[in-house]
Amino acid sequence: MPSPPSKAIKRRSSLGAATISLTSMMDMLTIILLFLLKSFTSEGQVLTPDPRLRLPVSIATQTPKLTLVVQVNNDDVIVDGVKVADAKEALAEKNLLIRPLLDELNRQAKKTEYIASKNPNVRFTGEVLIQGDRRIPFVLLEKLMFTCGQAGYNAISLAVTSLE
Amino acid sequence: MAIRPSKSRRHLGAVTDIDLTPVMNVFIIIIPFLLLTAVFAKTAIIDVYLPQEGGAEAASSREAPKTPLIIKVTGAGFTLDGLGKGIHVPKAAADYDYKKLTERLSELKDSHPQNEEAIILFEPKIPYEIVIKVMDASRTAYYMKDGQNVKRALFPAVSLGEAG
Repeated sequence: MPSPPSKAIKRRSSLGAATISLTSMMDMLTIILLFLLKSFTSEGQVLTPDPRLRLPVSIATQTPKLTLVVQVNNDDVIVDGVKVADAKEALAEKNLLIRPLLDELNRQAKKTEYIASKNPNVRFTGEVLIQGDRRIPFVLLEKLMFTCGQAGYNAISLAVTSLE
Repeated sequence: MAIRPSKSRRHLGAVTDIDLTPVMNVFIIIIPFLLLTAVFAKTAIIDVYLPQEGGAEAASSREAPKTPLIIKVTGAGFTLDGLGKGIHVPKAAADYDYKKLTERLSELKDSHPQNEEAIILFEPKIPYEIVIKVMDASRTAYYMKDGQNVKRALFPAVSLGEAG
């Protein structure tokens, strides 16, 4: 013999279609959305991470500024997103100077100086950020820094992944 | 005389709810998208000071009041020169002994609190990762004091060079 439906079931069925109250969930989702949007914008996204470029880990906490970026891994030397030199060739070179990189940096410096002559808010500061892969040998870094110095970029910073 | 409510108003029943389902759908799409694009690995920078050419010579000719600290990184470990002449920190097992180096530099900083500059010389083959680690070890010291993490600046003005 089937048991009679319980009182609760009977009451629900008398109410018609049951609705879930979504208001509290909406509140929660709105807060999560705002938090994510805020963390998205406050980060600034100055540096776009390249999957082939693994930055070394450091305890440094200084935040990066918007400057000219030189990326280097064991294959390419990239300035402002464009490949300018082959890292292997640059390594094999006896000379400390990387000629194609110097040409490109000179071009960038000239460009910035031209903009600075038209717009007083822009100034050529000689700042450059080197994003090096953690496996490149020191001599390649030295060549990069030397070439940057030759092109007038004297304020060199190294990009690292912060531990904090 | 009060106006009688219209027929349709009467028809709607007492509780009116907004249908939140489409908004929920949008939120549920946006949140995973933002989570994917948000970068949680924070990037930081380390400023590098280029060794001033001729500066070292001029300093040595007029009996420099500040001898710079020189750290040589070789295959065998760290050899200190200049300010920390005579100190040698050998490798511990297979890796460099960064802890010991920081300890030694802390002692040096105690006896020479005015010095800020350090010159780190590397052998050409040393990977960039180790370059950054040595810079970290010589720039700042973290230690426990009264159960709290204390940060102390050692020699933050670091310039790099090649060990010849």
